[in-house]
Amino acid sequence: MSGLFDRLGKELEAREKASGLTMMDVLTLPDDLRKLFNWMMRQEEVGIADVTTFLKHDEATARKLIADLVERCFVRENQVGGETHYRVRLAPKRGREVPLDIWQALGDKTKKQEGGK
Amino acid sequence: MSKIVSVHSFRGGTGKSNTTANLAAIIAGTGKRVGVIDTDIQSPGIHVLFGLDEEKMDKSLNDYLWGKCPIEDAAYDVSPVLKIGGIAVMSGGMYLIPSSLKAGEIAKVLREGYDVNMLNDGFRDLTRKLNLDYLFIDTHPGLNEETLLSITISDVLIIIMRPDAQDYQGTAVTVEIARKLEVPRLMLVVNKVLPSMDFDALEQKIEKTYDAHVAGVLPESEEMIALGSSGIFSLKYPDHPLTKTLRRIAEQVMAE
Repeated sequence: MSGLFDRLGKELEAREKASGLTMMDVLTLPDDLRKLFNWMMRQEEVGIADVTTFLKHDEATARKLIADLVERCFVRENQVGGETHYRVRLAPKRGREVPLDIWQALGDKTKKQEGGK
Repeated sequence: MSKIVSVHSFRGGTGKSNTTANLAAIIAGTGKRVGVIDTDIQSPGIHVLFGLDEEKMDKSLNDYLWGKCPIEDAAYDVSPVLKIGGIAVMSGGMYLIPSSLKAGEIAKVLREGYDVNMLNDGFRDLTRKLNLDYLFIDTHPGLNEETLLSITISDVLIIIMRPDAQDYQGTAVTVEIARKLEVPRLMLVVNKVLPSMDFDALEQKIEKTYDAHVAGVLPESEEMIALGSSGIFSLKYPDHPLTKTLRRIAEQVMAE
């Protein structure tokens, strides 16, 4: 197994399975993996041949890495014309955790304003 | 091939939206098709510069993010504002995708969050469906998910700063992050510079400090302050020195 895949595999193992990557996660990734995600985000969707070329590794290594990223929900698969395409899966932006009564007060005020129109 | 241009500043009040609107208008005036999207969903404002009436804003970016409409339905044709001295400027078209101004909708998006993948897809769909040559992304100051995403997918990143110690520090952070995200072209614009300052010396100092290209140094202007975001400066004052510098910045954005 290549040195690259070893490094990335260890990094991925250290991260918990999540509902996607946040952009803050991307910033803290090791260089190799961050470069892969930066590139994938700019491409919209990529095929396994594109990933292989980008990584400058053999197809088997690229497939294994992508499969691991899919398993960890960092990348999602999309079937296009019988081919599998891949794209970065970004985590949903979480709502802000502030006391509920603040949202309630704002909602009430808004309803009053809208009702007054 | 369309270009995505993000305009960002680490701190608020740098003139980010004004610069975005002016660059968009200047580039649209060269015959290009230009879109402007307001991703500052918690404190939107660029629509004011384009004279878009809140009452007539039927759909917004928020509706798209909630899956209520395709992104192009939230695009408003603002090319009628492209007039100099009352005469229409020939343009390829200019579109604005505003964020909602309704307090309840701002509260909802902050409270519930949204699917960031949709925002990413929306940028691409917009350029494709409106056949845009340029998509300008007006961002929220500082660093958040929208900002980092827009920086990552940009072809050009313009960082606006003022000659101010807090801006210097914040810009250093933004430049470092932009490099980590491998933005193909990074340019700095120094805004609100006192006319009494030595512009050339300031430009050289900033280029050396950040090892980045300064695309333009914009003077603080009484006319800009008096305009108070009620219009697009470069259309109102086409011969002003500020407009000339904005044009030079626009030329650099358009350069391959």
